[in-house]
Amino acid sequence: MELLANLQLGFGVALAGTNILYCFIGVLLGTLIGVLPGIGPVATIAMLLPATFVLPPVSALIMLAGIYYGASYGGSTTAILVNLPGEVSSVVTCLDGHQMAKQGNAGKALAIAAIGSFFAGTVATLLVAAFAPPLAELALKFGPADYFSLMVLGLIAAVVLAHGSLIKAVAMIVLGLLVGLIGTDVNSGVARYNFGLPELIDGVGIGPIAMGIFGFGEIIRNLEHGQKRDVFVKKVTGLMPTWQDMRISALPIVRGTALGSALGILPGGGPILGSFSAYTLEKKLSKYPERFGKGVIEGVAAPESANNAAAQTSFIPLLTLGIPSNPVMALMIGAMIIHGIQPGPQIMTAKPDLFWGMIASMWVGNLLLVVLNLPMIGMWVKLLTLQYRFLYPAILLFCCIGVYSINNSWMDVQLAAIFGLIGYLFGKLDCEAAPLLLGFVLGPMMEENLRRALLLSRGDPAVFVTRPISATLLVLAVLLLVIVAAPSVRKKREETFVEED
Amino acid sequence: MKHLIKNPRDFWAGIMFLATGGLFAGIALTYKLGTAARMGPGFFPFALGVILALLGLAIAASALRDRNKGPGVEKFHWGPVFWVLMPIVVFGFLLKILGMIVMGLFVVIVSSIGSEEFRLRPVVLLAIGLVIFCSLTFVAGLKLPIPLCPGFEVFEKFAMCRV
Amino acid sequence: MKRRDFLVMGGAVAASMALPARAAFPDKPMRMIIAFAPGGESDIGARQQQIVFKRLFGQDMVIESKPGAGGALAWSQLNSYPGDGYTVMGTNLPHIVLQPLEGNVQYKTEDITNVHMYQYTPDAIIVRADSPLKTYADLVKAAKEGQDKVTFAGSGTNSANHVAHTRLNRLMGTKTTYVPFKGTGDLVSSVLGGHVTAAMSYNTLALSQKGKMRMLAVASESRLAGFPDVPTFKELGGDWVDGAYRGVGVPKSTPEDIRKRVSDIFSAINQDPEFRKKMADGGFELIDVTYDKMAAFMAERTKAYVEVAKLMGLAK
Repeated sequence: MELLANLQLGFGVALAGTNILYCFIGVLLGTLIGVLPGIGPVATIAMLLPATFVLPPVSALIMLAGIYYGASYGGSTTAILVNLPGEVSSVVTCLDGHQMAKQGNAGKALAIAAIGSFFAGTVATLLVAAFAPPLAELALKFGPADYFSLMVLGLIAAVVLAHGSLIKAVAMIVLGLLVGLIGTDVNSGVARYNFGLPELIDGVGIGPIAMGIFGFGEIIRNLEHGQKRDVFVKKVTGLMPTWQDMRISALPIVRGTALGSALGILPGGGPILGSFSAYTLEKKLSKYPERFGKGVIEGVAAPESANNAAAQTSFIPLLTLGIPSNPVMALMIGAMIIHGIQPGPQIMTAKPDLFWGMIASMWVGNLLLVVLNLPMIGMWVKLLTLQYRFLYPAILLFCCIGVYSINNSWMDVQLAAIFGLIGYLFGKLDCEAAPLLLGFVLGPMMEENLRRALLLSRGDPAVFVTRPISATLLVLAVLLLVIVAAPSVRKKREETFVEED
Repeated sequence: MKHLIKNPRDFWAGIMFLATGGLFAGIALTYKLGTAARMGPGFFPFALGVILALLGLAIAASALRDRNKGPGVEKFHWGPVFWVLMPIVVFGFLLKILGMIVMGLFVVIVSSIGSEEFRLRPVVLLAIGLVIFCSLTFVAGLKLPIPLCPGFEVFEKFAMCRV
Repeated sequence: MKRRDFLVMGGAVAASMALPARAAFPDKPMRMIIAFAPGGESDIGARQQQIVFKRLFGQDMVIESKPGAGGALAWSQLNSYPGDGYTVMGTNLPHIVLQPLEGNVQYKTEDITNVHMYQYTPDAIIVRADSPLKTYADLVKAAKEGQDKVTFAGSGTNSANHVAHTRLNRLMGTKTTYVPFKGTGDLVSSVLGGHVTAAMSYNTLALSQKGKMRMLAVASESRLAGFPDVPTFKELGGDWVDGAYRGVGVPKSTPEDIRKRVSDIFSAINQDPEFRKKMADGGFELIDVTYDKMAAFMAERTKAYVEVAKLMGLAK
């Protein structure tokens, strides 16, 4: 068993005294910055890079990886507690997670997120260890046409996210796609919709949008409705999930893990698509889809598992191909080069201790996260019992500093304020923001791949149906569309709608 | 007019989509459209803009039908909007000039006015506490390049300001 | 640093600032602004210099990322920083020539005061390891037969890679297709997956993908140490020595002696043996275009880029 020998080597490295310490420092720092809204892993890793120069390369990379998945974990905490998605992938967690918190079940939501993430992390780590090279080869089969079809499927899945009007959800997706197009067009180099502002040439960041629409919008709504309410959440029931909760969440966690692991391998958009589609799947399979978005525990368990699984498997393209699938991975490549390690396919054979050590450390890191976070749940929930008049100015200040620090840009702060106003307007008109965010993230990738595919096929649109992967994805998309539009589902949706009124 | 609109929330949402879609499509016309096979930078946004406008139209039209009856649009509370968003805008414009200490106090104190139970003393204490926390965490700890002190030369003397 | 930030708001004030005694430059930390995101090649290069700078001059070099608009966001603000030599900015060729030609940016090539060019990565044609194209001649043959069916992935539109591709088409006498990607990291999977024929990129890509990708030709003066079997375009009959140059610029208000001093600092870093080895391992070719030679160097490069830009329909 080569795998066992490799894992033994890996755990030997990961559990070595100093490495486990750096792993711990990494996840601790990651959790802390993840909890602070806006301060993302990219800014933190960039700032901490110089500090890792003195460390041996393996310890440095183990610590940086810990910051990465620690931060994505911490991001979910703020999503649940105060409706602030630290990252795009935790947008979905806001939907039911924050509702649970409002009903006094924040502890349960946080605990199930931790448990689901740990399970997902364990499975995904095993996947990375056993199948990294073949999985990476598989991901390479995806050409531009296939990516486009995958985005189409993802967008149609997003419609199901909404619990109100179907057509409004579609419109919000299209609006998100359009907002995503602001900035330089990759294919022609033309700057679109930037109104002459150089700050908009690279487009609008996800930070200002998520923070504005979700965070600021929510604060304004709380202030106008809860004027008389001094405490944010009055009663806090059980901190830990009951057996019943665990039973309900078990399958969603497994399914979320599978979806997240699969999508995480694809460079670009993987973790985001993972958490969105895991939520969609649960809603489709559920006996009570109308309760989604109002605080069901599966709505937290599934996307959180998918999110964490994808965070682990997104290391596959990095470790086996040297392809960065997101900005954090790009920084990791930078860190490797600074430490004199050439990232890329040869890492596995040239530096087996680094490769397997990092993989083993991911599992150790996930374990540390659970150990670290389960006891902290009580403390987080206490935070909610603070008087809201003290809580919200603090959130605002953290958001301001966080948004600014993403790019050291004053423009991002203004954009967040603008999106705060837009988010408030959306709330008044019953327009749900989650589909908009997915459209926003996928829009540029969708256009880029559509045009790239046509450029490669010299203008022949048949490429989307002649390539087997693309054709399969499009068939799935059509099927999903039929299911969504089918009368029985429509009826259910309308019931929901009436119920709300 | 008023009695014609059976579902005001949907109606105004539809109008919003119609206007935004139209705006995006209109601006897209100033870029090169190209053809479906060789798309220019304007093609994709133009198509999406038109789709959004049409969706908006459909949403607004359906809001005129009796069977889609829905509740009215809730009142806009401009007070909270102003007290939450104004400090953020000011923070964005003045951070580089006045530094985080001043702007941090400003954001916390001013935004607190948006709450009905506003009392100055605890809010000022909170603001000071938060600014100390943020300075230690973000500037001293994480070394984010955020200016701490006002950018006037007098402050250059203080060691704290030379992070 | 706070004072400097403030002065960003008023460049005029900065220009009139009296400079402290220049004897011991640098006597406080130097701020190096990088116009690209952390983790990119410019950023990595600067972080390597950061270590040597600290060792040689005893001061910190603080790296600040100001990414945006392909670097243009930072470069258009260069002259608003104080000209005391403690704020320097990474500059990149051909970007600072091509972007103003294209006309979407708010600075001109002359606005950038380059004081030193310290490294470059030569243009290179790269295919995946199992590509049927074994040599440059194979590629030319395939391109002549397939014309626009032969595709080259590159980073960005009107970018260094785009210019190189135009030049390659001219050299081969073909009309192959250029497929722009957001960055070099983005195009790797398309090349490895065989979705494009080849990549028009730099030697660094071939180095990091060694074993999975092969280099067919490189635009360096002579063959690269790490790739003794790869011919240069010069050998193949083209007048083509080019690539991405990285250097450092200062605000216009910086006095001559300080400009010279900054140039000397970066020369000294380039001489450090440990630094040389690390950079060579990363595929960065070190050069030293010092401040006194900068004007001639920029004139020559600009002429070459404008010529190709005309072919692309960029410049009038």
